[in-house]
Order: sequence, then C-alpha cells, then structure tokens
Amino acid sequence: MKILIADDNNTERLVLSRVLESIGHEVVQAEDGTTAISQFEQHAPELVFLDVLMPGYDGYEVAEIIIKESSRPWFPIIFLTSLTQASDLAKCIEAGGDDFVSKPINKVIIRAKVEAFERIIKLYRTVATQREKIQFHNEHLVQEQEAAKKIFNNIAHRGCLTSQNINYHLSPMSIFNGDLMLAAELPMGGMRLMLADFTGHGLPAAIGAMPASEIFYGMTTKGFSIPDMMVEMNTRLYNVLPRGIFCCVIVFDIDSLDNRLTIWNAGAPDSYLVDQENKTVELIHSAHLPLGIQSPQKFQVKCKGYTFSKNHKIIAVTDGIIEADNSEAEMYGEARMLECIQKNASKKNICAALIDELEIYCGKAEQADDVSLLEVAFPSHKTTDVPVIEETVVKASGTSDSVLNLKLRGKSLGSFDPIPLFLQTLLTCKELLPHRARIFTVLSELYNNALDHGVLGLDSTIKNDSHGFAKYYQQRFDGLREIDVGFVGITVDHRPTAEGGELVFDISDSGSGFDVESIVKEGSKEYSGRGLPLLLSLCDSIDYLENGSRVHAIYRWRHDDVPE
Amino acid sequence: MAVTSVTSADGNSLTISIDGRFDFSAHQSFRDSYEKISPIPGEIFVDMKSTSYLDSSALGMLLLLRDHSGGDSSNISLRGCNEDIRKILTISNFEQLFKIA
Repeated sequence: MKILIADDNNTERLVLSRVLESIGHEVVQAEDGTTAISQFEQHAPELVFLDVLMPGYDGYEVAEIIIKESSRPWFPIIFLTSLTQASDLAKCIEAGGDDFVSKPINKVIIRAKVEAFERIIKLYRTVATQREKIQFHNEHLVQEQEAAKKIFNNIAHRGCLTSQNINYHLSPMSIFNGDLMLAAELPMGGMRLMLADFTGHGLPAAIGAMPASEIFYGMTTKGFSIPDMMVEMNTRLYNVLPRGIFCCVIVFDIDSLDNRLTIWNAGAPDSYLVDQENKTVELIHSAHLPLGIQSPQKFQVKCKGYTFSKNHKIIAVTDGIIEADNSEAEMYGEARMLECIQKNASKKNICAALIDELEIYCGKAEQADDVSLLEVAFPSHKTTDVPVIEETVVKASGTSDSVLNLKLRGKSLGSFDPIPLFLQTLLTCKELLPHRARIFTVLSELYNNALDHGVLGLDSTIKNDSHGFAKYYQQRFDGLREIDVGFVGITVDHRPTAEGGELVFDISDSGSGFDVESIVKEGSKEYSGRGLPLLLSLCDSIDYLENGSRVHAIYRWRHDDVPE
Repeated sequence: MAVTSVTSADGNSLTISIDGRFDFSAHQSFRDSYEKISPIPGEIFVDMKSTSYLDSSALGMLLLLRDHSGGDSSNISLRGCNEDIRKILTISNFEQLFKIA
C-alpha cells in the first residue's frame, strides 16, 4: 500500500517510515503542509498520516483541502499528535480524519492500526466495485425495459379508448402496468372493452398481457362473441402462465343497435351499472374464477345481459382502488366507492370525481397497487373514424362470385358461432370492407332470429322490460346448453352485378315458423323484437317463406360506395 | 406474519396456520410449510383464524399449494376466514377450488 507521511519532525517521520516499510508498504514523505498537498496529488496514496502542527498549512487544513479537492474514492487520514486535550483530539475527527495516534509513536499500535485500515480499504473497494456493477446492470435493465415497453405498448395498445364516451384512469406503479385496458369497436356497431388485472407487476404481468391483448383485438374485429373470445384467452393464459399467476378480468359489449350491455366479470371487484336518469346503481358481481386457473375442459363463460341506453354508464375497476390505503392503513373500500358513485351518479365524468376523492382520502400514503378505472357511456353510432382502407381496390376480387353454404345441426348449434366464419370469408372481397358492419348486422340478426325464435322457440316479447332481458338470455343460455336436435341452414350467394354486387341470404330453420302477417305488421312488439325495422333499413328486400321458417334477404352494394 | 404447519399424528392431514398478513412476504415460509413434507397428506387445512388480510399474491400461493397437492384431486379446506378474507375469496370464486369453512 502507498502511504503518505507528513511531519515536520525529521526523526519522527523517519521512524514511522521505517516501521511502515518494514511491513512492506511504500512510503512518500513530506516535511510541511504545502509539500503534503502536492505529494498527495502526485502519488495518490491510499493512506495518509498527518502531523497536526506543521509549518505552512497545519494538519487540519491539509486534511480539509485534500478531501475537498480529491476526486478519488475514500482514503483514510490518521493524525499524528502530541496534544492530549480531548477537544484537540476530537478536532482531528471533525477536520475529516478517521483516527489519531499519540506521539511519540508506538510501533505495535501503528502496525495494528495500519492493518485495520487496510482491511477497511479492501472492504470499501469491494463495495465500490459491486456498486458500479449493480449500477451498470441497472442502467442496462432500464434500457431493455424501455425498449420492451415500446413493443408492449404497440401490442397492448389502447384501441379506441380515447372515444368521447369513455373516461378512464390508469396509474402504472412500475414501468409495466399489471393492469390492462383495451377497447375496440364491434363490427356491428357499439364497443367492446376489457379491463384486466394480472397478479403481480412488471414483466410477468406484461408478458401475460400480450397474448391477452392480441386475442382481444384479433377476435373482436372478426366478430367473435365474448364467450368464444374468453375461452380462447383462458386456454392461452392457462398454458402460458405459471400456477399462482392469474388474471382477473371484466369484459363487456355495448350493443348500440340493440341497447344492450353484455358483461362478464371473472374475479374482479363489482362493476357498477349507473342509471343517470333515475340515479340508481346496480352492482355486477364476479361470477367466475379469474383467467388462467381453470383447465380449458372445465372453463365456461356465462355473460349477464342488461338494458343499456343513453342514460346509462358502466364503471369497472380493479382491486387497486378498493385496497388503496390512507395514512392510517385503512382501505378505501367498496362502501365508500359505492357512496361516491351514487353521489356523483348524474355527472358527466364520474371517473374524475372518484379519483379526486381517492387522492384526498389517501393523502400522502404511498400507492401500493395499480389504480385503474374505466367509465363508459353509450357510444354514438360512429364512435371513431372508420379506418381508411388504403390498398387499391381490385374489382371483383376474393369471394365476389361465390356461394357459401353451411348447415348446423343439434349440438353444433350450441357450440359454434358461424358469423365470424362467414364474415371473414365474405370480406376476402375487399370491396365489401366498407360494408363490414352492415353485413355483420344483417347476418347476425337473421341467424339469431332463426336460432332464438325458430329452433329454440323463444318469445321476443319477454325482452320488453329490463328484467325480461335477463330472463330471455337465461332461457337462451339454457336452451343452447341442452340443444341436441334441430338445424339452421345458412346460404349466402354473392353475385357480381353491373353496378357492384348483391348478397342473397337464405336462412332456414327447423322451427315451426310464425304468423308472418301479424308480425311483419309495423308496430307489433314481435316486429321490433326480431330486429325487423333494422333489417328492413339495411336490406333491399326481405321475404319470409315456408310459414316464416325460412327468410330470404337481399343486400346490394355498389362500386362507388363509401365507408359508412 | 408467521406460518406454522403441523402434520396430524396419523399423517393423514396437514394444518398450515398463517398469523397476520398473508401477502408476498409470506411466500417463502408458506412454501416451506408444505414442500418439505413428503408424502403430502391427503387432507390439508389452511387455518386463517389469525390471518388479518389476504392479497392476490396469497391467492396465487393457495393455487400453488393446490397444484402441489394434486390439482383437481386435492382436498384443501380454508378455515377460520374473517369477513374480509371471505369476500376476497368469493370475488375470485375460489369456493370452486377450495372448501371454505
């Protein structure tokens, strides 16, 4: 070790040098304060002995100067002093010294002290090296995470979350959020939203969020129902997530044509259905295990249905807001949450009111979990701009001249949704893209009429009040679960015409038909229950055949049609 | 927070007790309470009468215990749950996976 000795007394300096050299150290000497400073700068010693009383700068001053001006890592300073007053000795430490030895020096004590400081220096160096390494790794990790976050944000993007009918709040605790909020437009109009909360934060949550997000956007635009989508998502997460990590989720469709909310809550706190006119709040409880826990064989999705109009709002939350602590470690809780929603039920932005109240409640207490809040009102028919299809339209492309034919029988009626299949096949004709929503609506209305009223024999007048809505969907659910007879046949004949093309839908079912004349008459309850006004407004013609068990509808399109 | 476990005299059941908050800090001791026992008894009781709080990572730990003791064929009872804990278990529909007494 290189050691600097500054002492104006030649004999004492020499004695100390010998002692240190005899145990293998390299010694640099200085006979006054000024030389001590220049020797320190020149030789960079690892340990410094300073005599307190020296000409020029004294020991205290030298210590202050070299500590202040040196950019080197820590080096110990030991004062040499013949002073014995406690206050003088204390001053050595105050001036930045680490220890002191009384003069005349004792060889045994000097050796012991130098040995002890050598150990401390080694320890200090180890810590410094490790800290540098950790710092380097940390910077590297942050860089990687930021790059990963960009990729993550591209995949788990927010979709149409910025639509005017949506207010939301997301507060990420770490670089990746354990909460996921997604929004997409439904092909038939309306919106689908999902709020998901993965156990844990950071990378594990983000990795799980990616397949969930891809499935959400992929299957929603293709027209798959919530149950079909959630079965797919659960299967993927079940296979991907280790046991012990799972995902609580609330997913819902707002059908703006049918004024209907279809919702599924799996493991998330209650959602709130707010009626802004009557100022009532209905709670929608979790009815299922979170995603990623149950094996695909046992997994089943049963949605709840509610009437949802321009007076309604739906609020979904993750547990972060309910478990938010105040300074006394008392949770915000569901009771306060409900009270706040009721108090602000008629406000335009209930979300902001809740966040304001939560901030006041929590005060300075640290946020322990992600706080996510989603508030959705009835969407206008045109929620956001329809994406512009930039590719050049190739005339008469894809399935523009084709017949698609599918017949579903018995159990298949309860387990397979044919609409996405038809829609995807038809849309290979790029000219139909601007008609996607309309074609989806026509096809799904016709198919659902055949299935619900034809095969299952459900009475659409049940749907006329909000309680009936739930009852209707319960009957439908039960019917589809038990079904093992009957059929629905779907034929879509797509033919080119001079102006564009026409889609001829021919849907038949095994039901006993209905009294066509009385129902098709405008104003009957069955008339609106079957979506007839809507179908008539979209199609060029609708004809019921074979006593109502078969329907024939024509939808024409033109080359110069622009997106709706 | 303390996790203790006792195997019954006949070796047929294991009782794991959690004292205080059941959250991520209990992760290692909760795993230790059953992973070292071989063979794992057929019947497991998780005693939560002294448990004050349970968070989602605790739900994950319960799932790990379930998986370790046979998954769908496991037999685990959660006992002595207070009102708040019961509520969290209900929201997640854990009564489908565990007996909640």
